Amino acid sequence: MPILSVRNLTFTYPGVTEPALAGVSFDVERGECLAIFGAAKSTLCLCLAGAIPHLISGQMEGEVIVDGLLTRAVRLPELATKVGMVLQDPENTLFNITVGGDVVFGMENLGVPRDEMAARMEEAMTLVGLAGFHARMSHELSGGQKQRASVAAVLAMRPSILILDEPTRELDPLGTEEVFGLLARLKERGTTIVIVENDPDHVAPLADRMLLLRHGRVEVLAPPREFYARVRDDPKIRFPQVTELYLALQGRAALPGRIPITLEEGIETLGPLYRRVCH
Amino acid sequence: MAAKAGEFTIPLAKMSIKPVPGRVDSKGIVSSIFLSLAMIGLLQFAERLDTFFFGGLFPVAGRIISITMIGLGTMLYGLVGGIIVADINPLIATATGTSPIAPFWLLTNAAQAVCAWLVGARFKNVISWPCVVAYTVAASVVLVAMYIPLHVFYFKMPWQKMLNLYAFQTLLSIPVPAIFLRGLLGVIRNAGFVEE
Amino acid sequence: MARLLYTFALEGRSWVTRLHPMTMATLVLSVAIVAFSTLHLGVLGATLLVLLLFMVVGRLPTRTTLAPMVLILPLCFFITLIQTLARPEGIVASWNLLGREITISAVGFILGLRITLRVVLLAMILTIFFTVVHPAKFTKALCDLRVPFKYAYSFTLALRFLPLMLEELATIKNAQQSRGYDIDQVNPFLRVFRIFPLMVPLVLIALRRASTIALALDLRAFDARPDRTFFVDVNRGPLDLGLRAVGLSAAAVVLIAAIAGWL
Repeated sequence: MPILSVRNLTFTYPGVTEPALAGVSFDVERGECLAIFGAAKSTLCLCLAGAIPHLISGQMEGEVIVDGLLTRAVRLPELATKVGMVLQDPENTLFNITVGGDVVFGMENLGVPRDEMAARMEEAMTLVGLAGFHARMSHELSGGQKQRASVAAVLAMRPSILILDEPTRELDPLGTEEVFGLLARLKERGTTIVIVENDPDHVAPLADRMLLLRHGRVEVLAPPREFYARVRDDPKIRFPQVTELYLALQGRAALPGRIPITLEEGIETLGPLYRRVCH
Repeated sequence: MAAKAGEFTIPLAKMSIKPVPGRVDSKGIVSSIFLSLAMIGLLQFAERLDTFFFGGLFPVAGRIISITMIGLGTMLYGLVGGIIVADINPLIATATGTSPIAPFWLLTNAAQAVCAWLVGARFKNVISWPCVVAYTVAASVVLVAMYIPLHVFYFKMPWQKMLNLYAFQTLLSIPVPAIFLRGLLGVIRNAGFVEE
Repeated sequence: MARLLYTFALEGRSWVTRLHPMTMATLVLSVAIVAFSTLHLGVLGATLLVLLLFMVVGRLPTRTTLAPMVLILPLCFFITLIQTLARPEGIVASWNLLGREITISAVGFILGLRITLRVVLLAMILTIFFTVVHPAKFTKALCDLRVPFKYAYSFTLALRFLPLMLEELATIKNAQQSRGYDIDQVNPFLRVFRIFPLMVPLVLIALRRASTIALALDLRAFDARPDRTFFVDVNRGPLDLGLRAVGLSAAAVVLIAAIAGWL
């Protein structure tokens, strides 16, 4: 049974006639990583997390079922144990003065016993590579550290699904590497991840499937190679550099192998052509 | 109940149609806190003038900013929001060492929030000149009335000799905050922060 | 801006940081009662000495704790000046200036110094309070007093985001400067009247950021249940009870003595 089911989801913001989401349907399996592209992706994430309809007004139709719970039928605190959401700007998700205070914040709100909090805090902070940081002041951390602390704060609540809405948008390249390194480790552990991210070089190797939203509808839902093959002529989609190169050369040279999405695959696929041409 | 265009009771209060407590959900509380922090930042520019006016005994610039921001918070989020804007400010100013006498302002600031609440409740449209002027007049008068006991009992000042200074304070703290507040409310509405 | 006072409390190296927040609140109340009850120089002076001793024994960072006192110097100066010039009794000198009589009162001067001491006491005890008390423990203590968590937490939230808002203001100032509006060039006494171009963007940024933070709070189950747990522990020990008893007793004695006219 999928851990996340979306059935005919339609959402319209107040005062607007055109729906942001129109009849969106898809499933996410446990342990899968789904990357979302296109328009209204943040709106979709808010629906998955339950912020719509509980916090954000508008007209919502259809269903979102998270680990067996219908989002519109349960309270948001109950959903918080099932789905954790990490927002774009980590400054807006670290509320406490110390990192430790932030990591335990969600657990405190849920009434987790104190002894259990200490263990879960330690576990979450070790997982994100911030072990020993609990006494550090949140505003002193680097961008990458702040975002990792945000992830730790969400992981400490032990959600079934982790949703990340452009988690590296405000980060420098080093911070971006740190966050994606963390996500790769989480995926290896079997965490279900839904991610909105505009950095194709990092997302493509991570995602099991990619979803493209256009005009509020699901236009493409496919594994990365098939996804890029289907959207190759879409000027609004950014490709991993090796994929872009491969697709550009595909019409002009006989290229072996499948579409590469990582640098290593690109070397393997395009290497022979390069050596033929250049030597 | 949908409001007509240009007509509001409490513009941003979605959670409660009553000005008491007003909007006390996360958004209301956090927004009030942030307005208070904005007030702290803006008070930096009031420091020089107020220090000149007897070391802060007769604040003019600080009063302009506090009347504006506390009025804004109350009119947007109701009485509780206004009190948060009003009273977080002196606590934070003391906690961060920027103004050790700030706790004196706990009551005077809260009084401004109460004035804004009382005045705002009487107007259908708070984004209007009559409303903001009525509020700044009420707040200025109440502040003078509250500062007299503070000056007399705490600082042992001869209040009769301070009347000119009270008058000068009041003269400035009616029109200037009214202009600022009306401008801010209009901008906030036009920026789309208003919810029906 | 001064170094954030509560960093000392966060470090937790001194015994005073392990006191219950309500113990410190009781001491604040006690000093306030003493300061408001009397202007007796001996009593106020003794209270000041006790506070200084508390700072020494508690190993409070002297520089950080006393630095804010500098900010009240102008106020103290003007209080003393006004009392010296305004008091009709104890006049030691007078002269005529532009048709008005200016008098110097020795009684007024002494009174001004006493009021200054009162202001210093209150400012000092409050500064000590915020230096010693851990914000999270303060929140817990307020919740123990049945203050709803969402209000008790406001203080921590404000402390956390103050540096950010001040940064935003600095950014706005620079942005407006690049557009030709430079508040630093305006007469310092008139700055507040030209503040609108800074005020508007700051308020809008504040509201926008608050919306996102509120969303993030709700997604972490903020205020979900009244019986939330707390990671920090605040325990009352014998030292807490002792300090509370001593503080309140001393305050009561001074109050009674003041009412009876002995001070």
